[in-house]
Amino acid sequence: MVFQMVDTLTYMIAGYIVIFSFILGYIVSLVVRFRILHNKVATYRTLLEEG
Amino acid sequence: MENKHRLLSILNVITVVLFLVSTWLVFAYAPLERTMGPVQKVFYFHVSTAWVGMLGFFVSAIMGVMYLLKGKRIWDTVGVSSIEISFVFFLIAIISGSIWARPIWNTWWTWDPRLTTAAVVELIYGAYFLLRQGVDEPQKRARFSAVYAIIGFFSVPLTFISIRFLRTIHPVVIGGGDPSVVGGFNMTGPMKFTFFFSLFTFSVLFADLLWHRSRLGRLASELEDLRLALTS
Repeated sequence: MVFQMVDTLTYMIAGYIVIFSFILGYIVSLVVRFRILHNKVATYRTLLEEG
Repeated sequence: MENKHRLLSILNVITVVLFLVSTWLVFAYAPLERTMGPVQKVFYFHVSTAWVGMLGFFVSAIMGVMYLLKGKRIWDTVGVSSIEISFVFFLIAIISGSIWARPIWNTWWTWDPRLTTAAVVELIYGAYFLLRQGVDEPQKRARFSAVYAIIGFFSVPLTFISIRFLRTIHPVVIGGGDPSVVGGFNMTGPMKFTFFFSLFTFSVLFADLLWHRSRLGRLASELEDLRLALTS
């Protein structure tokens, strides 16, 4: 059986691009959300201390 | 606190190393499957991401039970963190499976029992976030979420067993199954090693992400308390 290796190679690359980009994207979203929340908490604390 | 940070840093390093080794195993160590060619390699991370999805939904159901029993906010925080991670990983599994299916089944999607039940699971947990958005009071939200996570989890074993008890074209990797399914294959030793190593790696990755996401959840709870204190 002759299999179209080039075609399935493209699909493998596409599959792994999806997997890696989603995982990386999620990690980046965690970092960004953490920084935003951290800044907000600091701002609210200052506001509370100032009364 | 300092010890916790150190442990988390160690876990981060272990996760990165394991992930790099897993990637190397997939691309350099595991042999090419004879009939499917390179696209078969998608299977290693496809199954691992689906595993993380199911594991996280299970953890969230346990956290739901714990919240209903103990009523502590931390169980709700870990529960929602677990579902968020699993939601992302289950989505990866569905999309990567669809990419694998295109050259093997000659279609991106078919209403096969496994694919259908997986889509239903994803929708059920998508609705979980809508539920949380709709309830303002933290305790009420946590209680509703806990009950939803427990009931929602019943859809997960249904997805797992769908390819074992129903007529399906989805291959069964562990525990045999119909040998006539399209895309089924027997794993060689190196394939099995790569497969189980990937499963282990993704389990560690899940634990690492859960820890980070729970820290984020605690910070969000703190912000919510500060807002309440300011407005009252």
